[in-house]
Amino acid sequence: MLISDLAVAMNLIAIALLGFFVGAVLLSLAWLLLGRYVGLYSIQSQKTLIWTWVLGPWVLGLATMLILSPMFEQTSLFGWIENLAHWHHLYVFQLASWHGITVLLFVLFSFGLLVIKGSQLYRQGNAIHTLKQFSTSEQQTQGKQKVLIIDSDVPTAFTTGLFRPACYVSKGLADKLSSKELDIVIEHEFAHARNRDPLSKLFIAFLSAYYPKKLALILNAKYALITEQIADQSTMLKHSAEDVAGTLVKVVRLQKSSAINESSLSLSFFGANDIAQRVHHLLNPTDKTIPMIIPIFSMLVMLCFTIVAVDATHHLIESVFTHS
Amino acid sequence: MFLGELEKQVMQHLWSSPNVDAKQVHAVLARQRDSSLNTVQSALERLFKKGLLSREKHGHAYLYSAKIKREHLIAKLIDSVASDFISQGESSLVAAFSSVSREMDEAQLDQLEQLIEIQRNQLKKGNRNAD
Repeated sequence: MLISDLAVAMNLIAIALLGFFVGAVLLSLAWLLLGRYVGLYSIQSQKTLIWTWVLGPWVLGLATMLILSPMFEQTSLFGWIENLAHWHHLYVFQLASWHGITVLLFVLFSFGLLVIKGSQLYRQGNAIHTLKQFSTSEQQTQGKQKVLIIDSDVPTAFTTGLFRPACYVSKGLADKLSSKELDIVIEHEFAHARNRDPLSKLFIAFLSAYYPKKLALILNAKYALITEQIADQSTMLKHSAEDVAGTLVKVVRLQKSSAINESSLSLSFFGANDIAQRVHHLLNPTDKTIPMIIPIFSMLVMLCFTIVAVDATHHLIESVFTHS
Repeated sequence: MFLGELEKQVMQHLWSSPNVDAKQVHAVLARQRDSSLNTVQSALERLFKKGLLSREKHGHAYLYSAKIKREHLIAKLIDSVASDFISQGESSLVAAFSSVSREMDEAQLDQLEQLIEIQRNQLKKGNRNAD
């Protein structure tokens, strides 16, 4: 049994975790109700909403922890908070209790997640490194940014690298595109590099992993689509929407015909919907923005609910499993 | 597909000169790096197990050749880097220009192309009317 400062710290972590779980449940339910409307807004608004969703449980957990912490004990706010909710054993923490176990499970899960993502990154880094070594890659510079040309017939273009993203285009793709089409592809990849999309996708993948798997997959796919659409948009400074959409369809056709020859090419499940959505959005863009007050207000409402729910769950569990 | 530094060098060498045994590979690579015959032998063994090399018993030694062409290995690497892992429950860490899909059939692509064409024509008409 821990008493005093360490106990307070452990209790605060336990509170944050409980708040985190309640927040995750609330936001999962919110997605069930509202998720289908996210696509109606502009791409930038969609991006904000996805970030709100994946950061939500963390914000709610931390805010709950702050409010129930001894920070407000000397202030006039305390009486008001005490009325709403409280943690009745802030200065005593038992490691072998359900609090101890939730903290332990959370730490183990987070550690496992780090290991999995880390090894994924490591394998990918190795593949890129090998690719550079085996394919005599030449460079093509455009202003500050550069593209690496991969000597391969496989038509592909991608951007990878967390801190110093690099853009790659294969000869197989470059040779089959007109100079205008190639410029669209390269501008699109440059936009990914500027926006550091590989890094932000990693954050989203990491943060969403605490949600139920099905929701995590949807959030990741949605976010991936958003990054593509933002990159599509930035090519439109120099090119028309029709040209960008046309290039997109052409590249997909090229990849499709090469996939029949190369049976090894694995296929993406979300692709179909994505390409169609990107083309439709290029031709008919929506600029309906969501006022920031809506996500902020929703988070405040959810925070109040989380604080009360944390208190209630705590009491419920501890009166069911009589605790010392 | 994970390849160590020595394994990469061995592959590079075997693409240019097939049908060699461990001693010959070691003799060539010893000029570039300091690795024992044993290390080279186990690298060859690993590559064989990964399905990248084929071998033939010749007297006491195995003669190794690359089983996979350079272009094919590059294609495999591109695939492992650029393909979306989302369908396998993993998220992709690259931003690819586009990804091919099982569901995307010719008819759908034709439809999208038609849509683009219609919009192009409408714009042209609009421009002509404005003139």
